[in-house]
Amino acid sequence: MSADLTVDLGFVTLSNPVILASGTAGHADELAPYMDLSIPGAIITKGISLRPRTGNPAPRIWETSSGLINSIGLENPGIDVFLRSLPSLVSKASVVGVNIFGETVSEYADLARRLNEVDGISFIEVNVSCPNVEKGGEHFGHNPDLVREITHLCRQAAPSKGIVVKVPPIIGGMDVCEAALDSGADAITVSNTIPAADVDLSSGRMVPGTAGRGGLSGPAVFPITVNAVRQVRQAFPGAKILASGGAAGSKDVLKLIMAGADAVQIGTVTFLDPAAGERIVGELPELVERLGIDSMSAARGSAIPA
Amino acid sequence: MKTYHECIVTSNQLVAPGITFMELYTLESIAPKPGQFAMIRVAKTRDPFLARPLSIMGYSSHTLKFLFRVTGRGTGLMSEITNGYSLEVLMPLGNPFPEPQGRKILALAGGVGLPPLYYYKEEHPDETTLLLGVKSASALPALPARPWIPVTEDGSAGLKGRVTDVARQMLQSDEFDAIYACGPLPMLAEVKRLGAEAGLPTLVSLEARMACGVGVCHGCAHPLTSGEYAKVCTHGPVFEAGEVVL
Repeated sequence: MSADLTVDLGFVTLSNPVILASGTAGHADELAPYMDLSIPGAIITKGISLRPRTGNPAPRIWETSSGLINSIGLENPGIDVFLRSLPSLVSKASVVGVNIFGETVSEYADLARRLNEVDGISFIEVNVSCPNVEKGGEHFGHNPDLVREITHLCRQAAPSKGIVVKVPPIIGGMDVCEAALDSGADAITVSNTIPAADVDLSSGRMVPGTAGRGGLSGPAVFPITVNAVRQVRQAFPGAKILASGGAAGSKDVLKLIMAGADAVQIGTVTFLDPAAGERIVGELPELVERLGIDSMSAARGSAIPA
Repeated sequence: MKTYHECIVTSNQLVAPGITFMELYTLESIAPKPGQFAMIRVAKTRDPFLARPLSIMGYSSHTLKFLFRVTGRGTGLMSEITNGYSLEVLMPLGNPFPEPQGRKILALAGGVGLPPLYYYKEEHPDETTLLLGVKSASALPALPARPWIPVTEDGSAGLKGRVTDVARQMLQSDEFDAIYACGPLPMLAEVKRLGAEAGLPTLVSLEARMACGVGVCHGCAHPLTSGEYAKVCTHGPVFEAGEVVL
């Protein structure tokens, strides 16, 4: 008998634990020419704000050993344009989550209120932690009181949707995770990209972006994610945790589940292979069987030392 | 579904200092057009991490042509790959240069901006006049077919001057209906002025750092005159010159 890959997140049940991460799967069905979008457990759209944002000048991306530093600048067409193209994704994906960010606390609530009315969206992923825009979410995610307020407002504004809070990298305490979980979040995403920079010897400047820094993603950050997920699981045994950071294959997905995640977002690997989401889900049944795993819930946290 | 396919390197040689000409044999039948590009994985080990975008220089009977300058580790490694080795390639991507449809095209290539216009000349030989501008004769690629008019800054081969200077003179003949160009940004900025002066449709092919090549990473954004950004991979790489900041 084949293993049960389903994941119950409370607000939705996923057919498998693989989620395409925000910022790596487009705003709508951009990946449709490359993969069957119904195969991943869920797809989370690229961060959306109330008004359009043009994003940052080049260089927006910088290759590293086993990773990528990005400074895209939260480029997006704004909620109105976004909602017009969203049906193309809703008609193809199994489960859709929408990532949002605001420049003020009230903008988060306004976005959540708009999305609450939209059919086909299962959950809202609240980005309080994007590290690459000066005026963006960085300060929210570093302030537990603001995270509590934003989560609470989104929870109230979108009662018919799951609320997932995507937290900054776990460095030190658990106060931001606690703030989100205490104020109505159904789940938390652990975590956003890790602040990073490099120096471009040809220009003599720090990169990427005009600020000379960005967020690191890709396999380079995978072990950091494994540790962070374990820490959050130990601190919050009953929380729903979506791991995000460096998973590039089916083995990585299972490792993160065994470290305590309920489901796993894959992101940068989609840049390397636009069909990665489909491929990784396809690899899971055999791997799960080989490892003798009966269900995702049984595997969850199974590797954490007693 | 469009996906990465394995291609076999059948030729990889230095054709000018720092410039490599590479041919790949593809098992799949594809139908690329001049101006489109491919994402090439340099190593299956994902080191270098990202695939490299390269403009397609030609395609016939399962053989793809590329020309690139070694600018860093990725292109350096790619230039050293020996025949028989396989590379994974995602293609064709992006929007091509439009077909001539009876129009006469002045195609301006600067250095390693040659591939899309070489391919265009190959596909539309009668409608296309191709100028290749380089600093001096030694930078002209030693390719089996050289369907271009060489233009060298030092006059060591072909016409003397910058490719845009020669183009400006040629455009006085009223012989052309459109200008297509690919090369370094300062050259493309001059091409944009040329096109505006001549009142001709002017298209430029841009290059950019890319992570995905398929429109989801937003890494390759190029500024538009409207103040917005466009993705070079899916909105381009071929743009109307008036549309982009150069």
